[in-house]
Formats: sequence, structure tokens, C-alpha cells
Amino acid sequence: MQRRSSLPNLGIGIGLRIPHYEDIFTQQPNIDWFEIISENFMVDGGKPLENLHRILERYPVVQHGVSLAIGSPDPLDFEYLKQLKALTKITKTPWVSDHLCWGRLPGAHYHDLLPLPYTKEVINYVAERARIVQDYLELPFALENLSSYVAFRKDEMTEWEFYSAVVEKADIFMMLDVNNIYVSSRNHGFDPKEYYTNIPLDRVIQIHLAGHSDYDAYVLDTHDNYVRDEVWKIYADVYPLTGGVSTLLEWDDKFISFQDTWDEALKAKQFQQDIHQRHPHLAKAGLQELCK
Amino acid sequence: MTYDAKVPTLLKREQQWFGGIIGRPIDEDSRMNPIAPSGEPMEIEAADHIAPSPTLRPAQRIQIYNQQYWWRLLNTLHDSFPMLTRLFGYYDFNKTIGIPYLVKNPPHHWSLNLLGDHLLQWLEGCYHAKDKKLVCNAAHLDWAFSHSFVAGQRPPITVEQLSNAEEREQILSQTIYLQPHIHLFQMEHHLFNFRNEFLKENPEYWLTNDFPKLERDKTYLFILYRNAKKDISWKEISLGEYHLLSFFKQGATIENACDWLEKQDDTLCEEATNNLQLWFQEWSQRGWLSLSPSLTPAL
Repeated sequence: MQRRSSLPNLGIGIGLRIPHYEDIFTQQPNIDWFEIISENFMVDGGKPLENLHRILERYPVVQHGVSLAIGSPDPLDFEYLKQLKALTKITKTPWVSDHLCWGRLPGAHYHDLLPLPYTKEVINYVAERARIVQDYLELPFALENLSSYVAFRKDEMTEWEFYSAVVEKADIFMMLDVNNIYVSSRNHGFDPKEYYTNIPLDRVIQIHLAGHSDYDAYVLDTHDNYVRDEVWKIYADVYPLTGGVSTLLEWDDKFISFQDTWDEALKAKQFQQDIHQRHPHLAKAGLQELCK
Repeated sequence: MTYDAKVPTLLKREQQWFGGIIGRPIDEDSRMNPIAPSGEPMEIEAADHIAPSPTLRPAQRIQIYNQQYWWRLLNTLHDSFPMLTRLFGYYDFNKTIGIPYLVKNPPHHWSLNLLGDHLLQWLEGCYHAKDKKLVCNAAHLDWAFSHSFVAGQRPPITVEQLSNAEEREQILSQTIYLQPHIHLFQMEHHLFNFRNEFLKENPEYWLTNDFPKLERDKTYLFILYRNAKKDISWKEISLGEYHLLSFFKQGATIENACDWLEKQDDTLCEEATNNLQLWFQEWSQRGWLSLSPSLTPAL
């Protein structure tokens, strides 16, 4: 099994987004790290790559993708993977992540993170492809849990059983989005705690935080708002169980100022400090110790 | 041949069904088509594939993905074609251009940057209103801005190369190419100024306000390019510059270009003869010319 201990805890970061470039370049804020959407920089040239180089001069950068669509039925796109790998050489990202989803059919791209049926066959299929991706990229590879709005009739297990089985079978890592756990728990009617106490938390290498939109009958993962208290509560529970991993705030729409975004991300630090003060042994031990 | 895993039959079946549903247009109230492609009511067919949630029926659940698909793609077109979107307003743009275009040209690549790469072609074939010329020019210009922003770069001919007699001699006989980020325009109106003004307000504003003045007193020739700071810029150019740069856009030697110029009317030939050296100096300083058809790898 791959060991998470060889991967750094980068601290608290935010997603690198265009509306914040000016503040970042002029103020050079003291941010632990940035996460980039890989595809935004997989271009032939121009300003995006110039901006990325400026960021890399000062900050660690981690790559997160949205277009791998690993559970799609068409063959893995090695032209895409080639570009993705080339970008990793520039960013020196310590790992690469994408989503546990599908998004393509032969000849069609849906540009969405579509949910998979949770069956044993699909576990084998996705795990095999995830292993290929990790081998090809020659970097630790993590899959992120989705916010989902449908469940298939043919599902044979819960989402957390499916997610755990895929990452363990592929021997890859988890990019755990705690907002997505909350959103899916509301949309499917499960207890979030049931989710995060039944996954291999020693495989979590990064946590995502974000805001969502609540429409009562369902919740949408919109990344356009402050992190809700319910989500902070999950974070406060999960973070010590992971032993402390890199944490990232995503904000993708209805942007607020750079400083306000960073302040929101820094709330995670308060939770981390509270946790360390209340349970100093937890951060060191992580879940494995707890389970003994 | 690349090794890959075998697709489970059930997965493939569910994905084909799912994709077939969410790719169909939503109506004006953002509702899903109530009849499935099979002819069955969606309420019944969706229940065969999707489980209900505590609050939503199966058809309501998949409708969320149907809406997300269309909203995302239409928003991308609004971003890629800001002038075109303002000419119509969001509602008419979606109805007249966005949805019909995407039905005929669904996304074919992982990059959303390429979503509109067939829009001009589609407009030329399928849009027949009186303002077709303006609409096509607007789409062309919007697309050029988007394309230029992320276009590749060829190794440029430098001023130093041009000032070295031996190298200059070699360059004379070699094929010259323009940088891929350069676009040339010949228009009956000053659409660049119009676009600048137009983009200062959002599309809703222009539904109830007069459009900016569109100058149209001559034939306008423009070059759109990426400057040294990697920002998109443009300027008006002369007829001689337009023709020569058009040659190099296709790939041509200086000799080819001069041969062509000699056959043109005296005014054009004289303009080119008098300015050729200055033009080449400027174009080289700006890094617009290259001896290579291949791009410098960006990644």
C-alpha cells in the first residue's frame, strides 16, 4: 500500500482563480499553497501559463482536474494525460487529483461530474483505470468524492463503500470533499458521520471545503458561498481523524474579495488549533490509532 | 495499442441512457423534455434507472443534471462570445444561436475553450437574418479574442536576425509564418471600437438602451494580436500591411509576396515598396513573424 506519510501537509490553501490574480501579484499574501484546475493551464500558450509561472515563483501548487472522467466507457484519453503529465513537470505538484465520476461517451463530452452506479463491476473497472493513470503520471493520484443528485436503481452498495473499494483496489488516495459529503447526505438522506467513519481515512491526502446552495428539496454544490456551519462541523470531526492533511477552500462563482476568501479559508486553522488543543494526541495518531 | 479496462455492460447501458437524457435541450422554463427519447413518459422511464430521494422523484433528480449541462454550456458560449451575446441578449442568444448550435455541435473535446470553434461556420450555414454579416463578423471577432488568449507561439524572427546580412539573406528565401495568435480582419464597420463600448455593460443593459455608435464610413482593416505582456491588442493597418500579413498567415516567402505586389496597382505597390523595411522591423520587434510552422512547446 502507498504510504501517505511521504506526502507533505501543505497547510491551508485556496483555489487559484482569475479574479484574485491582481491582489495575489501585488500583495504577495502569505498563503500556504494554491490549488489549480489543471485544464485551465493545459493550453498552447498565452497569459494563463505566464500567470502560473509567476505563482510558482512564490507558492507551492497542487493540480486538481475536472476532465479525466475516469468512469467513462470510452478509452482513457492519453493525449489528455500526456498534457496533464507535462503540466506536472512545470508545477512540481506533489500529487494529482480528479473526481470519481464519468463525463464522456464516445464522441460526446458532458463537462460535468456525473455519478457512477455503485456496483462491484464498476469498482473493478474504475480501479483498474485509476491504477493506470497513477502509473502513467508517476505521481500519487487521488480521487474526489462527488456531490451527487441521483442514485441508480442498480446500486449494490453505499457511496462510501464504493469510494473506499475503488481507492483501496487501485491503491490510490482520497481527496475528501467534506462539503460534498454534506451535499450528498442531504440529497440522498444519509448521516454524514456514517460516511466519514466508514472510509479509509489514512488514504486521505487532501480535504476540500466549499459553500453550497440549499433549495430545501435538494442542495447544489455551487462553490459560490461561505462554508456552512454543518460543513465546518464535518471538517472539525474529520481533520483530526486524518492526522492532519492539506486543506483547500474552493470558491468558483459570485466571487468575494481575495482577502475575504483567504479569511474564510483561515477559519480552518481555527478548527485545527481547537482540535489540537482539545485532543493533542489525535493529530499525531490519526484514525489507525483511534481504531486500536 | 493502449491497455485499458473492459467496460461493464450495465455501466455502459446506464451511461448511454443518462447521456441521452441530459444532452436534450431544456425548455424556456428550464424544464426537461417530459417524453424520453424512447417515447415513454420521463416520469416512468426515469424510475426504471434512478431511485427517488426523500424529497425528489427520479425524473426531478435527473432534471438537475439536464439543467446543469445546458446552463454550463450556454454560460461558456456567453463568455466566449460576449459581443454576440450582447447583440441578442441572453434569451434570444440562447434560443436563436446557443441551443441550436449546441444541438448540432455538442462538445467534442475536454476543453471548454473549444466549445465555440464551429460557431462561425454554423452561423454562415444556418443563420439567415438580414444582419447576418454583422452577426458573423461579431462571432469571428469574439472567437479571435478567445483563441488569441491561449494560442501557441512559434519561435519568432528577431530584430538581430534581420540586422545580420547573412541571416537576412537566408530569411528572404524561406517561408515565413505569422504567430498563431494573430488574426486579420477586413470589415465594413469599426467593430473593434463598437465591441469595446459594448462590453462595458452587461447584456441586460443593452436590452433597454441604444447600442453604441457603429462607425461604417470605409473599409476597415485590423490586426488582432497578443502583445509582449500577453494581453490581447488590436490596431488598424493599411491595405499593404493587410495583404502582406495575409500572405504570411498562410505561409509565404518574401519573394512570393513581392511578386504578388508587383502585379497590383501602383498605389499599393508604392506603399509597400516605401514601407516594407519599416513594416518588417515593426513586425519583428513585435515577434509576429516566424520561420517555423511548428509551435514552441508550452508544456
